[in-house]
Amino acid sequence: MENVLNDAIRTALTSNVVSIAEFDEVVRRHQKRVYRVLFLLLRNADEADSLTQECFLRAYQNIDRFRGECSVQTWLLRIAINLAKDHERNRKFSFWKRFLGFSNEEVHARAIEFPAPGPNPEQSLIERAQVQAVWDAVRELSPQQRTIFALRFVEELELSEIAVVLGLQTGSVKAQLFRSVHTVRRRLKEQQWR
Amino acid sequence: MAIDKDPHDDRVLESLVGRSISAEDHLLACEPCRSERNLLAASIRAFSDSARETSDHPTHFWTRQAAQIHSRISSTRSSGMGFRYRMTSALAALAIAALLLLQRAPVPRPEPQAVTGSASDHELLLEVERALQRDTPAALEPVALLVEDISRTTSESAPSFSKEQSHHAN
Repeated sequence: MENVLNDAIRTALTSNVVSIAEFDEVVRRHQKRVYRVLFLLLRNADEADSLTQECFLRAYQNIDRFRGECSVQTWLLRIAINLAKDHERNRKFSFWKRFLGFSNEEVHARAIEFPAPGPNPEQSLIERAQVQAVWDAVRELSPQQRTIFALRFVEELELSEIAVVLGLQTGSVKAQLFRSVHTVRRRLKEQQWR
Repeated sequence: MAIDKDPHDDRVLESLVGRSISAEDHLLACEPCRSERNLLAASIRAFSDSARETSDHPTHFWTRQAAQIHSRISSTRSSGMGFRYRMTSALAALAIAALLLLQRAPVPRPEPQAVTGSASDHELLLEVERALQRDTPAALEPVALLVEDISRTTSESAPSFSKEQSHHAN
């Protein structure tokens, strides 16, 4: 059933004749994943929400560019990641604007809240510290490494799929993921020594 | 970023990154590496779960987001159609105005080119005839007039001189 629906959406998108109702189905199907990736990249819930909307709007406006060479999910993630890159660039620019006094806009990054601890408080504390160490390590990564790490371990995409999303060679994705995991491991070791 | 060159470390990372067969073989034989990989994998899994939970929202959040996307698409669509409609109407109005202007514009009448041509030919012939009848070329006309004037003066003064001469002779 899942595949049939996927194919129907894909066919509709490839034929470039998509009704809003059909596109609503695409939104419902992929919005959580798009939002999650954006949230991991931007670390801000409001910005992730806003860019998720923008991502689907762009996708709808550029339906004629979808050739069906990749999956709908890959196509949407590519749009989302490009939006996040542009957003980060603008954010850097707005930092300088604020710094130079051209703008009074405040950055309201919402702190990431971790889930409540489990039944065993001590074990939960250790786990929580480990998770925090991974979050810190992920924050330390370059934007591209962070994206690759999130797509691989949170979204569970194959290396070849990540390569398509980012327009990179699979070997390059693998090398960057290797470095990312190395950073995470280093962070975890540091945390164990404390 | 310097990566440790310990082959055991590399095996642990490879097993997580690319599901390498050689790394898996190594892990089967090496207990410390296996436990290290398991610990690292567990931490990454815990991070993924935390990331999913942190980014998750109640149903009404997704419903509201989908509704907002829907309304934004609808508004761009209608504004796009409105723009297309306005453009079409403007172009049609422009075409009609151009047509009306063309119809009302005075029709340019062909000038009597042939008549002018023959008239100028006739003038040219007359000019040639006049030039032929002239004794001197047009450029030498002032000189010719001067010579004529001098000769006239000379002829007028010549009889009185001869009279005077004859008078003295007498």
